[in-house]
Amino acid sequence: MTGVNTRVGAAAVAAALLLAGCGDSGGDAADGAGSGTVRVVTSALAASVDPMAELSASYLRSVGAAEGLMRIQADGSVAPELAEKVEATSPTVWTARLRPDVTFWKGGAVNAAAVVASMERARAENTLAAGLLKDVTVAASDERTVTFTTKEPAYSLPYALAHYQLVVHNAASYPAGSSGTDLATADLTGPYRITGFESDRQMVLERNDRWWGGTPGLAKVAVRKVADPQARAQIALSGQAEIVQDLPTDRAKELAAAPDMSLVAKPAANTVTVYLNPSSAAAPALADQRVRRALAWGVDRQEVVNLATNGLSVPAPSWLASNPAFPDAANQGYTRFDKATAERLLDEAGWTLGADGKRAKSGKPLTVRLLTFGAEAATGEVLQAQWGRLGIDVQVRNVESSLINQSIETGDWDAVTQAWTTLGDTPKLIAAQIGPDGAANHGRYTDARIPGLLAQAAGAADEAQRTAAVYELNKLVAELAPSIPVHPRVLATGIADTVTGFVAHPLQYENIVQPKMTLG
Amino acid sequence: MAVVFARGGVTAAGLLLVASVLVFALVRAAPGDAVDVEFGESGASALLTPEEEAAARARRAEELGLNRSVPEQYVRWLDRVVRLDLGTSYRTGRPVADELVERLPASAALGGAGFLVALAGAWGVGLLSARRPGGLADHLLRLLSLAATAVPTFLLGSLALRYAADWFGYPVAGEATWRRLWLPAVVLGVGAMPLLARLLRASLISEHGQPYALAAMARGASPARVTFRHVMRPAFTPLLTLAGLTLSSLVAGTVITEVIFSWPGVSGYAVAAIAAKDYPVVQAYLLLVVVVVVLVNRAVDVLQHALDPRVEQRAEATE
Repeated sequence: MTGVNTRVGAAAVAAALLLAGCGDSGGDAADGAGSGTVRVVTSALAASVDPMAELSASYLRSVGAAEGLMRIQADGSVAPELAEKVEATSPTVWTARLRPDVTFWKGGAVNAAAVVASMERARAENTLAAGLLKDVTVAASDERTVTFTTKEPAYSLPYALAHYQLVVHNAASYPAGSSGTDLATADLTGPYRITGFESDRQMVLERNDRWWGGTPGLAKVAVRKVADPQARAQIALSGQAEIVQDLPTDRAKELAAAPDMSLVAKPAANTVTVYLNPSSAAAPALADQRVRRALAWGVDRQEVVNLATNGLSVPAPSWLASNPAFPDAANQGYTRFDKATAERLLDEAGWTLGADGKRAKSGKPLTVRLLTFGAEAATGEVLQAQWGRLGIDVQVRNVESSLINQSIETGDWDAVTQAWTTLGDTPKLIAAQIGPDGAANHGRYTDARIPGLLAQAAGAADEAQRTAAVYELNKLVAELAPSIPVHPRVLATGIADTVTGFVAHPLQYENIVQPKMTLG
Repeated sequence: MAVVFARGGVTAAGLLLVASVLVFALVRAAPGDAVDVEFGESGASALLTPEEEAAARARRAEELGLNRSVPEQYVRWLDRVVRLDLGTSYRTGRPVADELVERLPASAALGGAGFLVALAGAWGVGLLSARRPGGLADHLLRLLSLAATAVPTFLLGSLALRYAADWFGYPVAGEATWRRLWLPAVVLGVGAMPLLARLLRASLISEHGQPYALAAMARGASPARVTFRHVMRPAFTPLLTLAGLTLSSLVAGTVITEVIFSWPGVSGYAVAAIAAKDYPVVQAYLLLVVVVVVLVNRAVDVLQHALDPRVEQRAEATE
C-alpha cells in the first residue's frame, strides 16, 4: 500500500518536473540587474517591433526606440527631432529639413526618400496614421528636404508630425505580411535599439552608438511588463527596478516615503471627463443645460483629486486645462466648487429637494447612471457622494471600455467617464469634443457658434486668432456642459535615486526612457 | 479497461465539440470586438469623419474575418482547429499555438507545484485531524482550513508577495524560474488544500470504522500500521475525483495567481487577450482548459479503476 502511494507521489513529482519549464540558467533577458542596466517595469508593452502595428508605436517611443520628425516638449510646445527645422513656406506647404548624417539602426540613411517611404507606409498600414496624414501629400524635394502639402491651411501640422504614430522607420525593412514580432525586421532610429524582444512581455535595448544626438546616457535598458499595479508598487518599493511606470495612486504615501527612490507624479495631458447624454430616457433631466451645469458646479474637484488620486492630480476646471500649451484654460470653466449655484440651478430647473433629501420633479426622482472605466472607478465614487449631497441619486458601475462604447452606440446611457488626449493637434482634438461629427461629442450637442470657431481655430492665418478661437471653444464647452471635466489622469512613476535626468512629461509615451538619463 | 478507454474517448470528443460551440458563442457574447478595442485605444476616431471611421472599421473587420456571420466564423475556426491550427493572434500576428506552447510549461509547473503543495498539506492535515476526531488538533486544523478557504487568493497572494519581497528579496517579476515558483505554488496550494483535507479526514474516519480496519486492530496492529498499511489506499480513492478537478483547475485556471505574481503562463496571457478581444487567443485558451479538464478526468477514471477494481464491478452491475 505504502509502495503504491510512494509510486503515485513520485510520478506526480516527476510529472511536475517534466512539465515545469522552470530554470534559473538563462532566458531572463530583462532581469539584468547589476550590470549597468536600467530595469524598467511598465503596465503595457509593445506587441510588435513594427511601429505601424496596432498599439506598438507609442510603446516603442516611450522606451527611446523610435523618433519622429518633431517631438512634443514637456511644456506642450513642439520642437524638431529628426528634422532640423520644420517651417511653413505657404499656408498649405510645410518643408522639413532633415538633420544631416542620421541613420537607422542598421546603418541606412534617414534621407528624404526614406522619410517619404516611412510616411506612405504609415498611411497605408495604420488607420491612425492615415487620419494624421489625411489630405496631406508627402514628397522629397531634395536629399534632405521633405515637403508636406495640405489641401487646406494646416497650421498644426508640426503637431501631427510629432505624433507617435508617425515615427520614422525603414519601410523597406518590414516585409509585407510579416507578424511584426521578428526582431530582425526592426529598423528605426532613436537613442536605444532593441536587441531582445518577447511580444507583450519584455524588451531589451542597448545604446545606439549611431544616434545623432551623441552618446545616450544608459548602456542597456531592460523593460518588463507587469500587469498588476500592486506588483509594480512592490517592485518599486523593494528596489527591483530603477524605473517603475504607472504606479497605483492608492499607495502614494507609502511610495513617496520609500527610501532610495522618488515618486514622480505628473498630471497627464488628458482630462477625466464625465460625458452626459441629453437624450437619455432614464435621465431626462440631462437634456436641461441648467442641470448639466449644476452637476459641473457641484463637483468639488480638489476633494476628488485628494480622495481619488491621493492628491497626485490637479483639478481640471475646463476640458483643455490639462494641456500645458494652453495655460489660461485653467482659468476657464468651473474654477471653484459652488454648491449654492448648483442648488439654485437645480431648483430653477424644477428639481426640488424633498424631505428625504432627494430631488424630484413631478414625482420622478433625479437619478443618473454613471459608467466608469479602470482607475476612474474611484473618481466615480467620489462624484456619487458629492452629487448625492445635492440630492441626486447616482448609481456607479465600473465596467470595461467596450461596454461603455456599446452603451453609447445603443443610446442606453446617462453618463460615462472617458479621458481623451488634450495635447497635440488641438483644433482637431477640441473638434472631436464639440464638433458636429466629433467622436467624443457623444450627446451630439450643437451650437451655432461652433462651426465658425472650429474653422478659425484650424485655419486662421494669425496664430493669436487661432489660439483665441481654441480658448473660446473651450469656454463654450464649459457653458454648454456636454461633459464635466474633473481632473487629468496621473502619470505616477517610481524613479530610483541612482537614476538621474528623468524629466516628467504629460504624455505617457514621452515619460519613461529619455536620452539624457544616466545610472549613477 | 479497453472499454473504459473507448467510452472515454467518445465522451471526450462529444464534450469537446459541445465545449467548442459554447466557447465560441461565449467569447462573442461579450460587448465589442477587437476592432472596437483597436479604435478605442488608438484615438483614430478623433481624426476621422464618421464615414471614414466606418470604412476603416469595415476594412479591419474584413482583415480579421469578423465581417462574416458568427456560424460561418465558427465553421472556419473549427475546420482549422481540427487540423491543430488555432489561428493567429490579432495583437501580435503570431500563431496562437506557438504562443500557447511557449507559456504552457510555466502554467503546468505552477499548477503542478501548487497541486503537490495542496496534496501534501491535505495529507498532513487530514491525517492529523482523523487521528482523534473532535480533539484539539482536529478543531485547530479545521479552523485553519476554514481561514485558508475564506481568504481570497488575490489577498493571500498580494500579502505573500509583499512580505516575501521585503523579507527575502523575492523577485516580484521575471521568468518562470525555480526561485520564483515556490511562493505562487504555496499560495495556490494553500487555497486548494482545505477541501482535499476535509474529504481525506472524513474518508479516513469512515475507513477506520470498516470491518477490515477493526479486524486489523483486533489482531494487534498499531494505529499507525492500520492507517498506513490498510486504510490509506481506500481512503484516497474517493479523493481522486476532487484531486483531478483541483489539478486541472490549477494547471489551466490560475488567472489571479499568474497576474499577481507576473507569472508568464497561459492564464495571464489569456487575461490580456480577453481585454483586447483577441478572439483566437481567448478561444484557444478556453479550449485548452476544456481539454485539460477532460484529459485529467479521463486519467482519474483510469486511475480509479486501477486502484479500486470495485469501481468497474459497480459500473458493470448498474448496466
